[in-house]
Amino acid sequence: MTLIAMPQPVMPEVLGRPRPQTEAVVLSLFLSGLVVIGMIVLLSLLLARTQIRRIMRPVNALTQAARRVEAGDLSTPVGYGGQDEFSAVCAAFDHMQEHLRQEREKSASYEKARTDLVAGISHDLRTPLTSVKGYIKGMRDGVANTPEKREQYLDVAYRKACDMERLLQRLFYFSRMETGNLPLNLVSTDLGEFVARFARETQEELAETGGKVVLRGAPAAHPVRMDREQMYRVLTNLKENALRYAGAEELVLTLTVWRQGDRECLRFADNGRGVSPEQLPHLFEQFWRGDSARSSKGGEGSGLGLYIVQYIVQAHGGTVQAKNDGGLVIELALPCEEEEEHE
Amino acid sequence: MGMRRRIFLFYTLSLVLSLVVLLGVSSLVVQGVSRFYQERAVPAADERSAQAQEILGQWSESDRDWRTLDRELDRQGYQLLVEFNGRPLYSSLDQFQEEVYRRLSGRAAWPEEGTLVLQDQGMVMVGRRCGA
Repeated sequence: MTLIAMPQPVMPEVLGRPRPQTEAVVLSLFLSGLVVIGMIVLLSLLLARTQIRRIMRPVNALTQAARRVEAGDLSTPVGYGGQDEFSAVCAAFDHMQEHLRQEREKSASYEKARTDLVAGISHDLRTPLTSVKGYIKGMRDGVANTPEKREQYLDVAYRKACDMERLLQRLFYFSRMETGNLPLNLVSTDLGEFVARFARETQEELAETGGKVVLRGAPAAHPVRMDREQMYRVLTNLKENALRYAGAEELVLTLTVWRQGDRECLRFADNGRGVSPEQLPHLFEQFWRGDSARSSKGGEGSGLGLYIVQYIVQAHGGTVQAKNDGGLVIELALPCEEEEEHE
Repeated sequence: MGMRRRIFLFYTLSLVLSLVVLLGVSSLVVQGVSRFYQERAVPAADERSAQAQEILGQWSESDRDWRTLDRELDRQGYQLLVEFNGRPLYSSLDQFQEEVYRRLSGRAAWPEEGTLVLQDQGMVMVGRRCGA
């Protein structure tokens, strides 16, 4: 027989009832763990909220900027002044926005230029067309009553028709350029010989008005790979530009070919009044027409001649620049053809 | 401060803070429970168990008046359990005391003569064997 006397145990109460030591410790640890986890979660939430707010600040700024751009406002920058990774993104966004703004302004400028072009072309076409109609009507009505007069009327009408054809050709060419439908047929060519042949042709044309062509440059090979037809157009455009805008009584075109490093260069100079320094940077822009274009000999220009020159030269991998030196000077530089390729 | 560094610091700080809080609170809990047993359980065993031990030791083996013994023990704040071959003959233990007794009785080896005070996990038991 066993007699046991037991007091009410002296135990801590955990969860409303007294518990043995081990159970009380384990349960207390478990409960305190829960409390601690709760505290940690709460603390993390507070810290995370602060962090998220900081991280979202540039994101929100970008979102608002994107909405502004969507609404058409390209002038307000993102406005985030932080020094973290997002500052680079915001800077890139600002840069893109600035680029878009410039493009939009350029596009508006082009649009205006196109509108002006259409108006100009209408005018340019109407003027010779009216002349042609007038002279033909004069002949039909018997105004040109002598063979000399009839010959004169026919000659004027023919030249006016040629002007219209030239204008339409340039427009067609520009259209092909714009649509990228202008492949180059590159063949090995001696630039010196090519320019000399052009000079001979032009000499005959200028001689009628008292002008002349001067060819300079040491006789040497100037091998380049180029599309002869397109380069002929370049020279023709430069010649027409000089004829139209130089303003010289007796036009003198000086063509110089030389080699500079790995480039074959051509200098196309006239003895005209040149171009004002403010207008020089715009000379190769499409649809750009200087003040002199309005008062040129051949009526208004299309604003495409020098743009086409630049387009073709650059398509050949070359460069073109303009300056004043006793008249307007256009300098072209084309890549030399490699010796082995030439052979 | 870079965003990557900020996030890294945030997570590191959170981790360190969590560990510090967890360790701190656990230490406090363990320390608190230990102190509780040190302060309460040991003095209780010292003061009253001697009285219960004396009452139980003086109880005659032939006397089967468990109620009288229980009342005497009750004055010292003790309840009585009488077992014979593992079966209870008399018990004034409440349910919790019985539960604790079952948990601890396996580890108790009551002496053939005299009484023994057993203290385990804050529980105090005084026991003896008598008769056959």
